[in-house]
Amino acid sequence: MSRFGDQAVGYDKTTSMFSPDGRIIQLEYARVAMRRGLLTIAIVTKEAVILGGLIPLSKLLLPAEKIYQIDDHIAAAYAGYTADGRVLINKARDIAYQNRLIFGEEIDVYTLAEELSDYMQQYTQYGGVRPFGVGIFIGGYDIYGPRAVFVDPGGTIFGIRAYCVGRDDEKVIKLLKERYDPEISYDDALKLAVEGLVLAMKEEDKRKEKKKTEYESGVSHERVLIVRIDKEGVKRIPEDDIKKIIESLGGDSE
Amino acid sequence: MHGPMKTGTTTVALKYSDGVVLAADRRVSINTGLVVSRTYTKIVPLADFVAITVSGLVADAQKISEFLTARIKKFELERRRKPLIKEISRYLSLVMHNHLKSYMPLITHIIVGGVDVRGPHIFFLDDAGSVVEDDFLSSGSGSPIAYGYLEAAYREGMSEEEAIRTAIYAINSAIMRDVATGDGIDVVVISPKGLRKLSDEEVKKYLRR
Repeated sequence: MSRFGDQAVGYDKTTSMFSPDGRIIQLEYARVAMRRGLLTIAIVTKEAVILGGLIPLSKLLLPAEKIYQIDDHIAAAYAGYTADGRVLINKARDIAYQNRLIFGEEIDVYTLAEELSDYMQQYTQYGGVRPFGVGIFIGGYDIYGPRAVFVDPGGTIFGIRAYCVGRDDEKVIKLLKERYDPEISYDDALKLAVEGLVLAMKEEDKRKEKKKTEYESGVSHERVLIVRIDKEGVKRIPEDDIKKIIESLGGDSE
Repeated sequence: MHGPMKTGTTTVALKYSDGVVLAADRRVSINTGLVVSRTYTKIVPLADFVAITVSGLVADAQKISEFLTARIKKFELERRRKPLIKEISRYLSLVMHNHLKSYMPLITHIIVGGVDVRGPHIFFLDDAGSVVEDDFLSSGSGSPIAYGYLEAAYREGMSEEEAIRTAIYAINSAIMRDVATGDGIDVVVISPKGLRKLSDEEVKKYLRR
């Protein structure tokens, strides 16, 4: 039986078929896959876009990349199924490069998102394929200033101010709702992003689920990756800065 | 028949303090020396912030104007902003280059001029796909004559009136000395306020001075 009840039996087998109540159930599964991923967060301020996320940490494995540079002025991060995300990152880089080839200029953030979402949408309308199990954040600084966009597995585009997707996103969304203000300063926004990621780590720790695997658990600045995208381009926030913010929050970093 | 129509032509484009001036003659001729048209407009507005001047094969120039106008409209709808003059030029250069490399060159030289968020810009494009940006440019059979005048008369930061006069004098020199150039002058001024075509009376006034 389908997890959506008897009515949907059979209709969850393909994206190329609607259920009788008008849903594409495979897509809803894809969103579940997306939300199983580690938390990814984006906040837009007047001067820069902040793009951040959690990475798994293990003594045995090298740290994951999580946030990828797409062009001089654009970075992207995804939550969900990593292998699918990599494909989209490559696609995004290709789209950005094509724009430079054709127009001799940097691509607009929204245009990149639209072209990437066109690609993702194709995987919801044809048989024999499954949709991407990731939601992807695209943050950049273009002719309009700092802008960020979120594209979900179905290819829907959301222009965003502050948003997050991934494990425990409900709690972090609540935090963002309370604290985000369009006039927020860059420093406050960076703090808010770190706070959101710390909250997700704490929630994860409460469930103790990581204990079973080779991955480290608990709040650690080493699990937090954040980049800032502004007029100058994409810049990684130094580990020490993140550590200081976590300490100032009263959380135990390490 | 006597071969395809060519504009022969002299066109000039120059930047002034906050805009660009484009000017061109109106004669269309064919190889044997016959004047086919004496009223042809070689400055084509693509939108309210950009125009091109054309020289070379009339057919190719017309097709390029039509398709660029449509492409700019599509760009504006897709990206919710006007394209930069550089973006238009680079796009057209890619098209011209692709045509050349598929052995079907678009036999025209085009100057793209306009004003965008970065200010006034003019670009010269040839049929091989090269793109050259400069402060003043000229194309067509009479361009050596126009360049002779522009080299001496052009300076940076001219007023609109000075720029219009310089462009008209440059075209007029070519009309006097180039066989394939003549029959009146068209002038288009593009400033941040928009695009304006000068009337014949206005052009005459500049010539009389």
